[in-house]
Amino acid sequence: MMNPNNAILLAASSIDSQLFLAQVLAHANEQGKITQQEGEKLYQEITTIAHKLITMKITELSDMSALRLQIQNAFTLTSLGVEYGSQANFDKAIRLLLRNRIVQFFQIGNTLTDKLVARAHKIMAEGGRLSPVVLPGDDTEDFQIYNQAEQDFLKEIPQYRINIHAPQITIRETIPLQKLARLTDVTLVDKQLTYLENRAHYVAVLPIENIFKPNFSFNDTIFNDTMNPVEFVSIGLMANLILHRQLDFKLDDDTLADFTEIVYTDGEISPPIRQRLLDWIAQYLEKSEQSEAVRAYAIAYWDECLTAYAQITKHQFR
Amino acid sequence: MNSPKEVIPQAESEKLLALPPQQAEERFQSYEKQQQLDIIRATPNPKKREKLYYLVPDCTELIRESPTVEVLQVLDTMLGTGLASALLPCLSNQQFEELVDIAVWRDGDLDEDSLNLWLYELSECDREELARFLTELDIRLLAVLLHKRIKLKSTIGAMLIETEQIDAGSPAIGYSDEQTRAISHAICEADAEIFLMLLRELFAIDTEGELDEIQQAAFNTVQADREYRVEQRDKAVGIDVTEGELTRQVDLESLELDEGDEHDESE
Repeated sequence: MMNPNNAILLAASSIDSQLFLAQVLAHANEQGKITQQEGEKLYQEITTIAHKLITMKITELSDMSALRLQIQNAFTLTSLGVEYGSQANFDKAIRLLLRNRIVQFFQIGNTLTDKLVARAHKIMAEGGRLSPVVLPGDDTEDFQIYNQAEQDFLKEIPQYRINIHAPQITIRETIPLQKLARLTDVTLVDKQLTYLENRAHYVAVLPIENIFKPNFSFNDTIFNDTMNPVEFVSIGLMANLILHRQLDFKLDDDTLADFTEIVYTDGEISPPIRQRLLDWIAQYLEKSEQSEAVRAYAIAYWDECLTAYAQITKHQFR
Repeated sequence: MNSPKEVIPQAESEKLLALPPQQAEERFQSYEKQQQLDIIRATPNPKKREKLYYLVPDCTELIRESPTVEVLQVLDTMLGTGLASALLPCLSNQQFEELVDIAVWRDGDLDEDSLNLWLYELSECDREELARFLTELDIRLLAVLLHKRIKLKSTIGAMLIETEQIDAGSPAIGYSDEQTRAISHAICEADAEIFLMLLRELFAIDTEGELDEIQQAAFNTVQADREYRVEQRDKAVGIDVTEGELTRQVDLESLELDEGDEHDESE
């Protein structure tokens, strides 16, 4: 029944050992809970799914790497479905595998990942931009609220790949691309997407109108690769709150130098000032009717901004 | 002489492809047809498979006895060059229908990019061969493939269709792109009657109602027919998973999985 060329590829693609499904089958084999015939039937059902995916999704059937990818996807999504359906319990997984059609597990895995892909697309489609920021010299620039690693993270999700090992308030540490293979990866991506969504909610209620006015006094010496624009805007807000007790973004050299001097001692932030700032953003977002999750995220984000800024000031404002 | 029992298809394929063309042809033609098919099927690389088809003077029979998906892999490597049009006439009508069902649909919807390439290849086909495909092809499918790409420029266009006084070069017809213009001219040259039927279908000349709604209904019908055909073909080769099942979203909070009795296995 199978196109033989696909069959050759399929035969060559043994189940990736890191997949839950591979571990379940190994366990079932050890415990004698699955016959060879049952194992072969299961494998055949997944290869049938792969065959259908190939004819449904591939534009060029001569593209062998695209064929391999769809075969991998069939196994990975099925495995995710089995892991989700069994709550990662090996014995339950075996019972489920022997009593249900394999396509049901593929549907579960597909639903899980489709939700992630849809959220990633939505975040990217909504732009994630602070725009247009007017810089000195009347230059305008379209600043992303997500850094490069975060944009890469979003772009890779539709390919079922991840570039992080743990969720991060701001993605600073990346790893070489890995396949989204386990339920823990789905949870990881889900949490990271929530962080990125919360960032957008946080930015949406910041009083940043002044930044967009022409002739606004703006220091762009650190508004560059060393600090993300949203982090810099956040620090600007903190500086104006501490120094002028008002919501503004006057970010000239003197303001930043004064802020650094008041807030940091030997690169360490003053605990009472830190607490005052974190309380302020929590209250501000509560008044802006943001959810508790967004408030919690923004507090963590401000804390991180203060730490990141401490690192920069060590180099630039001493 | 090669005895049929001696042939190891994959090894033979490699041998044939390494030989000078004339020797390869002689050797390949010395095999029985089934052996030739086995050798072709054991060749994963579609470009190499294409070379094997050319080792016989007329590869129509070999193409028609090959699975359509495999032939499609070969044709895919030539899309956009006009070269696929040389092999297309070798397809049977059923293979051509299957090819269209696979090649221009992606995830259950029309794939405009693929459609562009295939329209170009079809427009390059020999007119007699094109006429053969057209007579077998569901005219509603053809209309669906082209419905966003052909417009009537004025109400006089509808009158010209009704009175059968229109051809592909008529100024009353507007084409969205060169591929559509080319395929329309090709259809008209291949079979003027079919071209008129296509226009009638496209602009719902004989149907009451809003054009958009009629076209949408026609699209839904063609889509459903295509799904049915794909399912039937799959069933015939033992594939019991449908495209609809693979794209179906499930309620993750209330899964309907049969776990059976937890103690079954220990009994």
